[in-house]
Amino acid sequence: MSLAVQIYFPGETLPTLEEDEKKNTTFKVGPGLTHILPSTLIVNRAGELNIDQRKHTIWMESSGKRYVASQNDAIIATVLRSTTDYYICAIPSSNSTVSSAGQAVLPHLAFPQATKKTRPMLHQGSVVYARISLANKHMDPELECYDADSGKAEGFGELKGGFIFGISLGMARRLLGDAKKTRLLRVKQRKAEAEKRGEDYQDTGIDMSSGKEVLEELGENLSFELAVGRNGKVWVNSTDPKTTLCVMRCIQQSEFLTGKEQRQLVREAIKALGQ
Amino acid sequence: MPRELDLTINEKIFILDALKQKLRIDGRDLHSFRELELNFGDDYGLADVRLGKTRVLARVSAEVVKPFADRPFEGVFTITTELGPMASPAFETGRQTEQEVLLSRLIEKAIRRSNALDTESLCIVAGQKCWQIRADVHFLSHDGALVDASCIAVVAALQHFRRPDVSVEGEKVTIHTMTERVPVPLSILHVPICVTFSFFLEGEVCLIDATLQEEQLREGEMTITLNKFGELCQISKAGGLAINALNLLQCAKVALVKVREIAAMVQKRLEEDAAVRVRRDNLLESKADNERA
Repeated sequence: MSLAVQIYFPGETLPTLEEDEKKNTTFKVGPGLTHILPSTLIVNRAGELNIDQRKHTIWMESSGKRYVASQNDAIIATVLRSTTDYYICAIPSSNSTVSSAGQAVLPHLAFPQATKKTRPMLHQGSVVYARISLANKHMDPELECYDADSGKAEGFGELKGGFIFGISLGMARRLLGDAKKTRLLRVKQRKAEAEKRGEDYQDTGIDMSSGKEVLEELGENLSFELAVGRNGKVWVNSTDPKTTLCVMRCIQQSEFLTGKEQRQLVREAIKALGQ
Repeated sequence: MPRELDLTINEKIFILDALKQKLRIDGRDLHSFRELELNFGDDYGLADVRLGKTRVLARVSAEVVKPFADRPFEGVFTITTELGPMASPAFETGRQTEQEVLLSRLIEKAIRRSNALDTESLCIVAGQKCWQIRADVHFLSHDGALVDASCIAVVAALQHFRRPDVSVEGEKVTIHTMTERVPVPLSILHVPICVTFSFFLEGEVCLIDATLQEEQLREGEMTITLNKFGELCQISKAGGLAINALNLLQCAKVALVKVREIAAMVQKRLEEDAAVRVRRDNLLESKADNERA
């Protein structure tokens, strides 16, 4: 099985891994695949097959719109109400106007250096950037607003001002830089394939594209704050609503563009903004 | 049932701040519609309207029924609307919300009570048989401006619809199949179009074709229904912010321009669709004024 882009549809059975790929290790099966004993993998979500040799994981990458809470994900949640010990939050996904991942609880003390007296006051409709500390199939997820390792805020906490908009979940993962490892592996594989055929490897602009050139280009030209949640929500803030809207539109429009096109789009948008 | 989430504080403040500077989130002018797309189905009487992300489907059908006893010379025309979970997970089937009642009454008033459809032409045998024309409106996706979109869908579907031809000989009524005789279009007296205005910041800002976010935030709304001749069919303002007479006049002027644009667009799409049909079904051969072989 090579690492070139492989698209599968639900119901398809994956061909068995070649010996040199298996290396007698155990693979972890990720989202989009069903494991049927002893060694059959069936696709249950249309998308692109991804294999990470170093982490020994195999999963399907597709761009859905419904977020399912999973541990350690950084998400953007909105506060619904406050109880004695917790804030009850909604985790909206992408463009949906309802909370699809159920209600999450954010303890009052789950902020850096929070005590009963110094905890931040959040109101109904406040927005927080939080990490999912506990996600269980049959329970409401739990949130935390500090980094698990350092115990410091590290960007988590209430998001003040700015605007929130939705993107697809795949796009959100890309903006967070998930695609990097598989991308490097893919380039390596392409090079090897080209060598086998005795040709020189040439990047078509797709293999090496990080899929987030839009952010790089925007960051070079405009000043703004940005937070991407894995639930497909993006928060943008800047001093001028025009800049905020410009950033929002560039991100929303760049989902299906190549790196080059993304840079072009941003340059044109910034030109229009200056006028 | 999932409840629709309220807008966050951040979104509320941002949208209003932007509106103060006459900026809208999707980059439109205050007085412009989103991109309007109108498509027709393979059958007669199916119109699919897209207004940005809002999508509405209208289906017109006809059957022969007994006319109402108090109106023996008139056919029956009904419009049914139902907001289901297809449009938004927050809508429930079977339970009528206030929004739904308002919506269906508005469309009813705009199209049926303004006599857009000539019901007298639907009579077959007085007091005994008439056509019942039924327009079913399905909301496929909800991103604001449901009234405007569904009104366009219904009038487009009515104009697109063809009912089977009938002939009456004494007491005997024959309904000819679509292949036997060329089906006849409905007699449409005028084409009403709704334009909904939303008011923000105590009436300072007034915009048309509000998205769902803007609808959740507006302080007042008003729907003006006109036809392209500038005849007023209805003004509906159910509560909300009070607006003064000057604003109302201004809105009416804007509405007339928009209504003419939309009516022309609907007409153009109908003609395009008719041209496609002529080519596809060889309809030129079945015209009544052709020479007989």
